[in-house]
Amino acid sequence: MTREMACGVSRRSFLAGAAGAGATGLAGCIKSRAEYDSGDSGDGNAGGPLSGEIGIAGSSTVYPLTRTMRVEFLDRHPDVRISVQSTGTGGGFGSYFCTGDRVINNASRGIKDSEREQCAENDIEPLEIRVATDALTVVVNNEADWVDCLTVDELAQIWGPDGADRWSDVREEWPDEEFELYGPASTSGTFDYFTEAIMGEEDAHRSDYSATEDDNTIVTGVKGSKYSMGYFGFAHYNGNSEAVKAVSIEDPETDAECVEPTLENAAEGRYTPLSRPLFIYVAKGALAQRHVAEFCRFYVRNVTSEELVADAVGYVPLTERQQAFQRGRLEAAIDSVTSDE
Amino acid sequence: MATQSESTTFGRVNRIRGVVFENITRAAALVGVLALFVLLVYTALDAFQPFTAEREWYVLLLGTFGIPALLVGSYCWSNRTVGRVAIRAVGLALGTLALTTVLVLWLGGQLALLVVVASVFPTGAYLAYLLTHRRELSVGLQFVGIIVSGGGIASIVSFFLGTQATLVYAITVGIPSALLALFFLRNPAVGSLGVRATAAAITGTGIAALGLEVASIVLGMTVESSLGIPGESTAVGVYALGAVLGTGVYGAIAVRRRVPGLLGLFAPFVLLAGALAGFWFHREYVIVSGVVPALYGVTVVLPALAYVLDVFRTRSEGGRGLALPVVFALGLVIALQMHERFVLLVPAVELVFGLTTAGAIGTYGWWLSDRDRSGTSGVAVPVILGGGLLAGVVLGRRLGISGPDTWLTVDFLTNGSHYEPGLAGIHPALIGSLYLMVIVTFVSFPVGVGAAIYLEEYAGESRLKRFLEINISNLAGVPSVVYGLLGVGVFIRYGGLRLGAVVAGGFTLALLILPIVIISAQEAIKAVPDSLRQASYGMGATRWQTIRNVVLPRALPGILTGTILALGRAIGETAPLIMVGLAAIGGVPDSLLDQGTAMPLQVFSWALDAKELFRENVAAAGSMTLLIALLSLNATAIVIRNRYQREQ
Repeated sequence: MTREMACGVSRRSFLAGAAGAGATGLAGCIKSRAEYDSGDSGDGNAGGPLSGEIGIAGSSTVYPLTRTMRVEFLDRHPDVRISVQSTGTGGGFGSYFCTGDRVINNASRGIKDSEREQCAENDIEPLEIRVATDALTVVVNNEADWVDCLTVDELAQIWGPDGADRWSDVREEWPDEEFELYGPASTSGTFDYFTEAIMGEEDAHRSDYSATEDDNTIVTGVKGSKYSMGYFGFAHYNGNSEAVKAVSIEDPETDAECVEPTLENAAEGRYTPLSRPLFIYVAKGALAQRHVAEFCRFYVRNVTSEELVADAVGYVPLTERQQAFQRGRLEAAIDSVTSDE
Repeated sequence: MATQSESTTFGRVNRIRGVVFENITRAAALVGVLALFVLLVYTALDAFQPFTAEREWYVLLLGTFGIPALLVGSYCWSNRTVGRVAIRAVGLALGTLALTTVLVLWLGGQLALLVVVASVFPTGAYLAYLLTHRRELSVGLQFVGIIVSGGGIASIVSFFLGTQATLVYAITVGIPSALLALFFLRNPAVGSLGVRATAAAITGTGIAALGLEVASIVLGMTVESSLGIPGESTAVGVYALGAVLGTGVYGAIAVRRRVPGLLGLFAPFVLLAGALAGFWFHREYVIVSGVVPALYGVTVVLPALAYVLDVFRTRSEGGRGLALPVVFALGLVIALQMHERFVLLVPAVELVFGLTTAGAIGTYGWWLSDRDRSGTSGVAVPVILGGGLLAGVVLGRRLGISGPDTWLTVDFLTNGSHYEPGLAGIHPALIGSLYLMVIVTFVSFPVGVGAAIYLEEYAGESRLKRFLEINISNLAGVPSVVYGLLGVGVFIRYGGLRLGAVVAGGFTLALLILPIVIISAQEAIKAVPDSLRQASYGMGATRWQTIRNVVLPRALPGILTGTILALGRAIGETAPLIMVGLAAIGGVPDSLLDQGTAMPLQVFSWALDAKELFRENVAAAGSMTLLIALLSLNATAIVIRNRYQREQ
């Protein structure tokens, strides 16, 4: 079949035919780009379209939220380029944000004084923006039917330095089996927050547990062993609620009974002390660039969104009042850097 | 046990141990391959989800694709000539599809269509015409080479020095060296001395620069603060001193040995004067407008004009070859201009794929029938297979039979990162990896092959060679994380690139595979029989001519194979890129200095995601994309190697 075709059509006539067909085809189906563009995108962007680059590093806990905001922001401003890396809160401050290499840092805890000093050495003034609330979740194996609720003291016994080795060391009726503990590595903001909230001081965390940067390792570990325990951000529990069992927390400082880690409990402030604020930090100087300022404004505008914060990621959205406070601080910062010029 | 004692007598040899050992080795071989196979199948199942399709869909596909494929396959099996053509045609179609995919993903369907129609096809047609005219072809290729190398060197240098400085030095150093080269070619004795003197001067400069750098690190301060003179001028003074001393040392040796052509000693001074003049001019003046056109005027248009004049003056034939780059560039300009002004209201992507594959297969069939080769009907095989597959899919969609709910879709290749697993795509990472590979190729290939040629052809059995070889093979075993640290230290903290720049990642990966490239290129050069070199020398050829005309053409397929396999390693590297600061999520970079991303980083971040669909399916689809890219590279390497073996 092909042989006939190949031999039947001469080279010249084929070329001529193809060129002719191509030319007529092209003439019929092209349209001026100016016409096409104006007809297509007429949302009218005062001051010209935004463009530029925003580099973001930091916490793996905040990473999914920032990723969500990025996608929504780029929908409206496709010419801005935003990169997001997950480096851990401390890693982000130390090697990316305070060195001036990235303008925004995701953080699952507040900035430390040492990090503030490092930033100051490089003339970077971090502006804290609270973006969501997380319910840090302690999980155990699905078959661990003896435990549904833990007190803060018990958690401290288990996770503190020289922590308990066996379940029965904590409560006598619990099985006489060794703990298998999985938790985030010490570069993680989740680790820092948990240590601070449960043990009450920095770095007072036992070191003989399986530390990992990857929350899935914690899920796999806890799922695989009956006598294991682990903790991570609520978003991760949200995606794995079949695989592991969340434990309620009893805080002696509030009179509440055992409180389950749920978005409602965290939003209403009942899930203490493990509900925690999540932040992004912006280099104040960078807010002078219009696209950075707009991205932060967009972020703050959407921190109350049930759809983006709770449904898409699994964190607790801020209340309107909290949002108004963040917006005020952000606008003040933007005003201060833009009026300097 | 009993048999062992009997086996002492001749004629009753116990073979059990041998058989057991053979089976153990077989098991070892199978374990490795099977484990890999299972892993691949597992990933592919997650990515393609074949069990989600209705049974009718498979029946339909069996009818339109499976049965024709079987028939065609059995026909090809019985008719070997057709079979061979068929295999090549299918390979050609797949290769074209792969290249077109890259083009479409890179430029977008609209621009890709314009480029293919206006530039690639005419260039291909012209090239096909030139292939029948040897003289024209060589002129055309040389002309392309001059333009590409002129523009390429200018772009690379201006990347590091800035356009201003590059233009200045191109005029003050580049033009004199071109004139010197012309002069040297006419006076070989002067030329050989001149080149050596220049080399000595450059070595002297290098030593001076190194000394200055070491001194400033050891003293812990910059030159300005220690000497109280503006640092840049001091540095330039030291460099110039190094150059003069280097020339002087070489000159003294040359004079004592009574080498002819002492006139050549002036060459380094001419260049040094040019460089100093350039430095002074660049410090005092700024060229306000027309820098870029002037730069490419000097580096591209001027050499091109000289070559054109030369062709017309010395060779009356071959002039038509000069049109080759013109056709290409003109087409490109037309395509870009069209793209800026107009929008094509056609299914551009489908058209591009159709045009390129049809063009490639058609050309192959034409070529075969033109030369009256047998087995031309094999060309129809990719058409039947591809057409059947396409017909099956389209028919299935028309009839409402749902195919598998695969994750590796066209949208996956064209979308950016997203928080919904169903909308997530790998496009920026794919393009990022492509950019990385281009940089890696352009850095590691010339450097690696150059080093291999030196070690195999020039170094002899010196201590230096042994020292270099030991170090290179050690470097090949250094963990990739260490290269990442090196990349951060050298390219970012010292070299001043931004953390996460595409070039920083590319340079780091290039360093990572450099030892592998060197070693494989060395092997390829070693494999060229020594008798060929001896024969070449026996004909009176020089060492350079032997390398250029005998060794390199023979070794090139092996070199290419090694380099491509090394590229395959680079494309999957993750650790060094994380260290250098490339992000998992990002856009397509506008320039090579911008923040970059890469496929393995994106896959890694999906694999760590909280949502199971990301971990299981999207990561699997990403892995498959990466694997397909890798396997395409390996397939290219295998094709090159097979051609090479046939030629031998």
